[in-house]
Amino acid sequence: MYEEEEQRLSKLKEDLEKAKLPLEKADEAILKGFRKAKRDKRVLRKNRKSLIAIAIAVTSIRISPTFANVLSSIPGMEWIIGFVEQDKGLSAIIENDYYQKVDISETIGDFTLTVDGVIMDESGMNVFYTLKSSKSLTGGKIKQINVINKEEFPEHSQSYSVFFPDDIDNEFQNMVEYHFANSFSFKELKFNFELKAIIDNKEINFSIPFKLKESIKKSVIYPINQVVEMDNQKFTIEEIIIYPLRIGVKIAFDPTNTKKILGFEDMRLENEKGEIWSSINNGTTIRHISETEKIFYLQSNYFEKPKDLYLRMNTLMAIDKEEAMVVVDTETNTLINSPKDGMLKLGKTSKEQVEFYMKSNSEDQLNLFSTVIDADGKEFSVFKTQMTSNEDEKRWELHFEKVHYRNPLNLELSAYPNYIEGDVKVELK
Amino acid sequence: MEELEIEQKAIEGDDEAFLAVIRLHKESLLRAALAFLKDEHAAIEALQEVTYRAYKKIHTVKEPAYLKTWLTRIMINYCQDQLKRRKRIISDNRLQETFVHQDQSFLELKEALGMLSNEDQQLIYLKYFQNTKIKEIAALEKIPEGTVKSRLHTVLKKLRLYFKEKGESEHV
Repeated sequence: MYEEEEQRLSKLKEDLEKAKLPLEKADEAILKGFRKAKRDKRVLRKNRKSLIAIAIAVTSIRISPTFANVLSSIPGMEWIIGFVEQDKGLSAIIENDYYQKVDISETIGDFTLTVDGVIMDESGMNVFYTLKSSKSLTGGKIKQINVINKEEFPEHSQSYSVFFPDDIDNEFQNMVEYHFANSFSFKELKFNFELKAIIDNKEINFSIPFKLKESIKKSVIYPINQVVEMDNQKFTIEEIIIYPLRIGVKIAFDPTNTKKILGFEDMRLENEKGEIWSSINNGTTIRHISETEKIFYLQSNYFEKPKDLYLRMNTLMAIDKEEAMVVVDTETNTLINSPKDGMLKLGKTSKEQVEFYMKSNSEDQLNLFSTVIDADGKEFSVFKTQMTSNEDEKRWELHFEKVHYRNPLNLELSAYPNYIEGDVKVELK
Repeated sequence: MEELEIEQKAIEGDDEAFLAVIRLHKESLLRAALAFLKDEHAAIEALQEVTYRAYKKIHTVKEPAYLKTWLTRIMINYCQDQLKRRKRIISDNRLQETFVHQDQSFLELKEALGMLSNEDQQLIYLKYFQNTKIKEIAALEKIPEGTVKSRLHTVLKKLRLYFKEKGESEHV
């Protein structure tokens, strides 16, 4: 019926097929797009020595077949998928039966709290719990959670969700995560789970004792001490510690480097088959030991038995050291120092807040600054950073709690959209 | 590994499988990009962006066998957005073609395709340039096969009308 048109179209198709494709640049473009997408998935949190609350968003739930099998054998555990499915290490923990079921409850009035289970290793512990009520829990929140042992907890960071989600009915299921700064083992595995909730303006205090089996897996340490280089920046991979919950990669930066490394965008472990374990998606990703020594955390391959294992990285977020400090006078509204690329611009300023903006169409959520130092050298933290972005611009509104300071302010960059590339491959085994 | 197995793993969130899938389809993706954007540099940028978008959305794909077409649609959507932007910036500088030998009828056809709506262009591309099955287009668009057929019919009719009018006006 439309033979003529179809013929014309197929001739055009032939013509299109003759076009030369820029294949030599294709793989690089694919990797760039891939890395950008990976970066977006990452939540970078740092300096979590003190209590920080986070809400863990569960966007999609996909279940692998092995996983489904394990879960079907432990009824009531389906909700935990949301926490573990985005982390290969946590998934492997469930599959390898390293999750310890606790299932001990306490009921106070209309409310019942259950400690469902625990994952513990020398790097920390994750406690899963369920709060139930005969009434709606909407509007309530968690005031405090503490896990207690006879021994004092080592230096750690702790995270848990404070607010119940809006669509909550009468059940709230969540996890509290303890992350120890250094490997640590308790002498006795008897704990007390203490949770303070505020519901309908009433405080409810739960206290649930529980005991774990003496089967805490030992970490595996790979001493590396190898100096590697990317774009003339040197750093030493000191050691890699593999725990069931996470992998710690300890890195020391050469103080003579011209650039400050802000992040490892695609640090990963890779086995002989090319399977990779990348950075933690949801949880602590980095620990600062000192200005030049840091630990980066990856998803764990503890339960794997790889023949060969490599630590690899190709993209680092980095900025010239002299550009790493943004200097601002909030009273005269002047940007005294900022990265040379000129992308970062100063918006409105007042004693209470500073606004920055940048032309950018990337969807990356970068938290540019964390601490501020005033002209007298007094350090204070950014109380709140509000980020907004539209198609081609991003804005950061930094709010300060403290207004008694002397200008100019020094804001140290903790992230900036500037990257160096290279190929680092270190053999573990 | 079988192609479909890789595609299934990619949908399940396996990074290596995802990269393998994109690499597998890079040629047809670049071809689509060139057909719309007509510029190698822009095509490479498009491939990067499509990789990025696909990674974020791949878990929503239900049928692994349709992954290639799914990717092509992301590519065409991206290209059409880019063209819209270009139009805003550079008023009309689109006669810079990269094809060396082309007679009048090709130019005419491309002009005709340019007149079509984004949806119609996408349909033509999938059906005639990538030989996608009507069943697959129907599944991805979530419309009955009959609707795809009648839409194709309408588009071809539009093309015929366009040529006819053009032919007539040239004779005047």
